[in-house]
Formats: sequence, C-alpha cells, structure tokens
Amino acid sequence: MALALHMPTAGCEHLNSETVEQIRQFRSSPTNGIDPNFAQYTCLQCSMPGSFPSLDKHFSETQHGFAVGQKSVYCAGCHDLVYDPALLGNGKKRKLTETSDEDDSYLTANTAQRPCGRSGVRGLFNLGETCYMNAVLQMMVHNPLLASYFLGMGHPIHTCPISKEPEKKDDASDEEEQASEDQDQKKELQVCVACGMTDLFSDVTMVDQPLPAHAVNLLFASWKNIPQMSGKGQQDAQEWFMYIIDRLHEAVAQYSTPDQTNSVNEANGIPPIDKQCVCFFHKVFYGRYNSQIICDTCHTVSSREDEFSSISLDFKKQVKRKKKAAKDAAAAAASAATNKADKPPLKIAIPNLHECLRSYTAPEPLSPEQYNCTTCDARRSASKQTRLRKLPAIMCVHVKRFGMKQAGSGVWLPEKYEGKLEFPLQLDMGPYTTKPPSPMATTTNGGETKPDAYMYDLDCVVVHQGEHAQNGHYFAFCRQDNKWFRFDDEIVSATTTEDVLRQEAYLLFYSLRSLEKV
Amino acid sequence: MATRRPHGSLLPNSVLDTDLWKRFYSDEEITADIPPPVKASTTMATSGAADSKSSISLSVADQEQAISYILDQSIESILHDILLDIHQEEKIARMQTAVIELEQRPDKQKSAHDGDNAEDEPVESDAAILEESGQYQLKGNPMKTIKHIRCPNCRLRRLLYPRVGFNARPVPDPTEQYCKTEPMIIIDKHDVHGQRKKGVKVKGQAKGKNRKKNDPASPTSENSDPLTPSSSMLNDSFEFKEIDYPAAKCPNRDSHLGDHWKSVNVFATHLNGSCYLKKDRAAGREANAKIGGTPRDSRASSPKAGTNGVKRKADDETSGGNKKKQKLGEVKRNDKKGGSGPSRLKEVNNANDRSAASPLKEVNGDTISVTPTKAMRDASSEPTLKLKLKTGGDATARKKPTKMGKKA
Ligand SMILES: [Zn+2]
Ligand SMILES: [Zn+2]
Ligand SMILES: [Zn+2]
Ligand SMILES: [Zn+2]
Ligand SMILES: [Zn+2]
Repeated sequence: MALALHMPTAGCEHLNSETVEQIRQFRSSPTNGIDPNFAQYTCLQCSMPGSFPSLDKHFSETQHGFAVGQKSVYCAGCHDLVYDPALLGNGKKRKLTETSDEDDSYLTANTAQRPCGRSGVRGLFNLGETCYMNAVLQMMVHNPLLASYFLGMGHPIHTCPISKEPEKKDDASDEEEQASEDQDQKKELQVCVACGMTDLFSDVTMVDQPLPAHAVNLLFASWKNIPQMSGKGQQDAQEWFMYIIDRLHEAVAQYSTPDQTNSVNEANGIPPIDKQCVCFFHKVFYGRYNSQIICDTCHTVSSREDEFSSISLDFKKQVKRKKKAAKDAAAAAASAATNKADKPPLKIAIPNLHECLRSYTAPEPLSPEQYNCTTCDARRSASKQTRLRKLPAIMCVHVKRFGMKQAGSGVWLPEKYEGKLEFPLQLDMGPYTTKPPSPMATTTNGGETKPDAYMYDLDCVVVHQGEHAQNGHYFAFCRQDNKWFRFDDEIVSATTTEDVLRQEAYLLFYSLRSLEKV
Repeated sequence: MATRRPHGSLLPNSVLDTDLWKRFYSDEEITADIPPPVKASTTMATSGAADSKSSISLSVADQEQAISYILDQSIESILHDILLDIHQEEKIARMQTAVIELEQRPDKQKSAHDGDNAEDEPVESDAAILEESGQYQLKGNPMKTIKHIRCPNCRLRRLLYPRVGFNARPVPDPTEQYCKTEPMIIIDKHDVHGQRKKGVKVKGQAKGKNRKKNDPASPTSENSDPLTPSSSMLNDSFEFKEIDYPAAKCPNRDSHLGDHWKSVNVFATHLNGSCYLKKDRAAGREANAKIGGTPRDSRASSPKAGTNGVKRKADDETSGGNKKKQKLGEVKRNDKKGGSGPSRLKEVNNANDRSAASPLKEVNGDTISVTPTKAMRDASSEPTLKLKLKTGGDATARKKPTKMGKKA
C-alpha cells in the first residue's frame, strides 16, 4: 500500500506497538466515552477528557502519555497529534482474498512504477457532442470501487467471452467471411462495454500524462450495445447512465434464485423473485424498492418489488409545492397584517433533497379509478407507498429537469425546469427505507445496529447547462482525495465544496459510507 | 444543521486498492436487503417515518439548550476535522521525508567504503534513525525537524505552491529538480495543469479594456494581447500548453482494412458517417463507400495524428447534416463562456500566446472557432509587433512586485 511506503515504524518516538494495541482496544471499547459525533480526546490511561492544554497539564501531573480521539492520537511527549502507520488504516479489515498474487502482479508492477504527476485528474476529450457520456464517465473513473474493479482484473479483457467472439470468426476461411460480409451486417463483431470501460480506466489512470484521455472504444461499444442512443447527437446523461450500467451488467450477468430473500418475502406476502442477477454491477448500482398498496376498505396489503438504478425525483412538483407554501404564507401574513402596505414579499424556499425523498416515499392516495382490489373484487380507493428495500453501493439520484409542456397551440414541447435543489454532502437513506422507523425497532432485526448502515457521501454532481431540454452542455464535479474538481470535457479545474453545493444538479451520485470499512 | 465532515478518509481515492471490489463483492452484509415493511397494523404510523425527530419530546427550553450545545460542539468538531486533515497530510509527508532522507544515505555510505562494516556508525539524521532491526524510528517531531517535503515516490522535493496562477509563488530554487506532482494550477480557462483547449483564446481582457475600450474583444485586440504589460506577468518561465487533439484508432474493425486513425474530436462524426451508422450520407456516397471502403478515409491512416487532425477536419465527415444542430449547441456554449466576463486572474495571461497564436494550425475543427484567420495574418506579418514585445517584456518585469502584492 502506497501509504505505508517510506513510513517510520511508529507515529513518534514515544509510541510502540504495545501502546498502539492499547489504543486500538480503547477505541473499540464501548465505555471509552468517545462520542463519534464530536472531536474529543480522552486520556488513554484514565479516560479523562480534555482540550490539548488541559491534557498537557494532566500528562505532566500523571505521567500518562497519550490521549485518544476518534480519528487521531495526541502524544504528551511530542505535544502534538501523532499518526501511527498501524492506526492509519481506518480499521480496514483487509481480508486477503485467496486470489493468487500473480493476478495482481501486473498491476502492482504498474502502479509502483507510476511516475509522479498531478494524478487522477485527467479530462476526457469531447468526441463530438459526447459531454453527456464524459460527465458520467468521470463519476465512474473517480469512484474507488469501480477503479478497483476495472483496474483490479474485475473484467479481464483477454478472457472476455464477448470480445473473444470475433477472433473465432477470424479463424474462419476468408471466402466464407467475405461472403457473409456481403450478405448482411448481422455477423458484425460484438463489442463489450465492460472491455471498453476497462480500456478507459487503464488509460485514464495508468498513463502518465496531463493530457485528457478519450473514450473512443467505449463510445463505439456504447453505440453498438445501445442502438437507441447511437448516432452523433446530444443525449440525456441519466438515460445513458441507466443503459450503460445495464449493458455492463449484461456483459457479466450471473443469475441465481435468492432463497433467503424469498423466504422472508413469502412470510410478508411479497411475491418471490425467481431469478436475480448477482453480478458485481448489480451489487454496485442496483437497488430494489418495495411498493405497497393498502385497500382503504378491507386493508389488504398487496406488495411488489422492483429494481432501480436511479431514483428519479419530481423536481417540478416540489417547486410547485414550495410556491404554494409561499403563497399561503404570504396570504396568511397579509390577512394578519393590519396595514396592507407592509405586505411581505413572496419568499419561495429552495426545495431540498430530503423533501423530495420524503415525498417520494410518502403514502399517496389512489382513487378507485386507479386501483382494483382483488380481495374486495371491486374498484377501491387505496393508499400506495414506495420505500427502499435494498440500497445500492453507488446511488444515482436523478433530479427530473426535463419534461413536456403544452404550448398554446396544443403541441407538446420539451421543457427544462431550471432552479436549485439543495443537496447535502452526506445523506442518510435510513428514513426512506422499509426499515422500521423507531430506533427501538432496529434492535429487533438481528441485534446489531450500525449507525452508518444507510449513510451516503456525495461523490459526484452532474450539471446540465442550458435552458433547453434538447440541447445544452454537461459537466461533472467529482471528488478526488477529498478535493473537488470540475470536469468539463477536456478541462479539469480545481474548485471548492461551496461551489459544488451551489450547482443546479441534474444527477447526484452518492456512495455508501460503509464501503470504506469493507 | 451542520454535520461533521464524513471524510477523515485516510486513504485517498487516488490510491488504488485492487482488492476492494473483491472484498465488497464477497461482503454479504453490505447492501443487504432491508427487512420488509411492517404489516398493515403499523403502516398508518409509518406515514410519519420520514421524520423520526418527532419521536423525541422536549420542552422548548430544553431544546434550545440542546441545540446550542450541539451546535457549538459540531462547529468545533468540524473545524477540528478540517484542521486534522491538513495537519495529518502535512505531518505524514514529513514523516515520510524523514525516512526517505535517511534511506538515501546508507546507499551513499555503502558505495563510499564498500566492504566496510557500516554498523559502527548509526545511520541517523536530526529527524530519524535507522535501528539495528532495519526499522526507521522518528527522532523528535518531524514538524520541526523536517524542512522540505520530499515525494515518497520519486524522492524529489515537492513544490508547495503552483508555479503560476492563483496562489503561485516563485520556485524556491530554480536549479533544483522538483517532483512532478505539483499543486493544482488555478487559472481561468485553463485546466489544473495550466493547459487550455486548443482554439480557446485567452482574452486579452486586460488590454482590451485598458487600451481599446471601444473595440470590445475584437480578434485583433486579443491577438495583440502579448503586448500588454500585465499579460506576460509571473509566468515567463511557465509554458502554457494547448490541448491538442490526438488521433485514436477506430475500434470499428468491420469498417476498415487495417488500422484506421482519426482525430478524437471527430470520432462521433466518423462513426456516424461512413464508418458505422452511415447517417448523413448522400446515397451516392454510400454506394461509393460500399464499393471499396472509403477512399478518403484511407488517406488519414497515420497514427501521428495530433496536428493532422486539423487537415482531416476538412474531410467529408464534418459536413454532416447534423451540423446545424451541433452548431446551435455550440454557439450557446460560446455565449456562456464569452459572457463570463473578464477573468479575475487576467494578469496571468501568457507570454506564450504570441508564439501559440501565429501558426495557422490554430484554426481548427474545434467547437470554439472564434479565431479568425485575419488576426493570424496580422500577427505573423507585422514585424513592428515583435519589437514592441521586447520592451513590453521589460516593463512587466518591473511591474511584477505590485501585481503580486495585489494577488496575495
Ligand atoms: Zn510522541
Ligand atoms: Zn468484455
Ligand atoms: Zn447483473
Ligand atoms: Zn379491498
Ligand atoms: Zn514525486
């Protein structure tokens, strides 16, 4: 691991392996008094908490040597925070998978020899209106999990069955080939998107160059595999994202019957899943939502579950709500005010992501026209609620900004909804899942409660610039080593978190925090 | 409410962990199914599921007190985390430097008196010591004992400030070789490496404003840019590069005999046309293509593409019917870019503009094609301009300090 490179044995001359072990145990002990939400240091020996000056005093009085915080250690001898290599791994349990070293040797060799340079921030050439693709690709390229997969032989190009196929054809006799060529395009070469993606990842990360990389192979693979989005022209980044991960999944699909899920589902009246893909991309990008309809008359619950690869939020509806709320508030204020002159200006609040998710997962009424209850055998009013049953590791939140509006002439025209939607750097998805709401209830399922189980961190923001639905420009903001960069095709520039949070996001990519501890 | 920064992340994501995906893939808990919703009886209650806050009941006074306490603590914690990140990054770099500096020494010693036993004298510096066990131990606090940070990869000294642009500082020792991992450059219209897109002119805003107020950003004023005293500031030694379009091999092996290279910026057009989709093609051409591949294309089959891309741009492919739509979008983009006003960092304009602007190859197939050929001709054919350049350069050198002061 590069971090351990050229590191001294200990964080400072006062630390030794015994103390490090003590610190480890102290941190994992439930009674250490360290509140994970706050930065706090407590003496390793006597658990006395305090600020650095007060700890210094305590140390000089007691000869105690270290104070431990959640993320760092304060050394009495150094009067400074110390970073011991053994404590830096962030508690990662590095289960060494039993794969042979040979597998990775090619890669480690490459990484070790990697020359210095401003790494990890390469632009992508626009290949001709391909900014929609570049924006999504930058998200992928900067994701450590995907980088690990594509650069860690997750999809070995040389053994890919899809890319292999054409070579078999090449073996066929020349005349035969030519004959078939003339006949039809049917025997076209197959092109694998996962191979194209692997190409891109190695190109972007392995090549020591400040110059942008290009995704030519992937573009071609995309056109071949997503015919409905092929051809030069502007495309919807979200649509492309959905397709490309679906094609990635298809390239490596692996189906099985989820017995465990089915037995749980059966007990809860949820229809069983006969086959479910267990491929890497499914685990990374796909979640499942549960939607329940409860008949207002007989209270029968009918459930169904479906996969999703992005959560689409109704931005327009949320804006309307805000406008209405503002108007109502203004009206209330106006009626309350005795003097009509000081009418407050209409203040329309900016909608936020949590509100959108809340309304996405809130029960909504269905009219009898919309629902037919099989138990009552009649049309009934009912209530429908959609919640998340399984969360992906990388979650795409899609702010619906494109729709249709009817022009005066009655013709439907595409429309873009501009405006801000506030979004957080970290997002707890817990409240939007099927998990029982109260904290008491969480203990009933399996015992241990992980506070971060559904916590996500913002990784990437894709912005669509332009006031029209049909054309515009995409660019992305991605996090690299906890610094934000703006990726606008070829040009990569440094930016700030504040700037990122100011953006009118179209796509938000969050990744599961517990990935850090895998 | 303010929440504590999630990323005390000690592992930067630029460090590749090739096993992460395997551990993730075999981890059965992560992204596991969440228990299904509770059945009917409780569903009424779940409507309030979204805000679990409502379950806690406190008096208003209690709440206020709690909130202010939490807020104080949070802010302190957030500040702590930010400072910790910075401190940690810096200190670890110094810890590594202490080791690197020592590691380099035994080599020297050994080469000096080869067979000799080096054990007599311990290998040590002010910052670290090599123990008999072969391990490096720190001495004192590296924040004090280490002066310059060295790169753990190439062992060269690291630059702490960019050479040019926002927050730039002169290189401490111009004769020394530094690690190539330099701080990110921040200059308008340039990327973090100080490169800009081919065809993008760095506006001579400075001069456009000072000298010719009534000539708003005309190509000529842009071109005379290097004459502005301010424009060659600071970066006499820094070479601003233009991002040139390289060629890539066409992946559509069905379409070409042998390797076929194309400038990357026309790839969509290429695939859209004769190569793959055969859109935007007159019927005659299509027939032509069927007969013997595409004769025009075969011309452009040298892998040395970069500059050739320009020539090829004139190729049939760019004149597709799609062009109209494309143009529309591009104009939009230009407007936006143009409308962004003069850069705050205008003083970091580039002395190299002058050389970069002259060759005709700058007029390329790029989307932003504002650079008129006329301006080019002006630039390259007026000898007087060159004379002026020299004096201009001197003037800037004198002005330097004040400008720097402003920036800082
Ligand atoms: Zn110490
Ligand atoms: Zn493949
Ligand atoms: Zn799958
Ligand atoms: Zn019913
Ligand atoms: Zn280096």
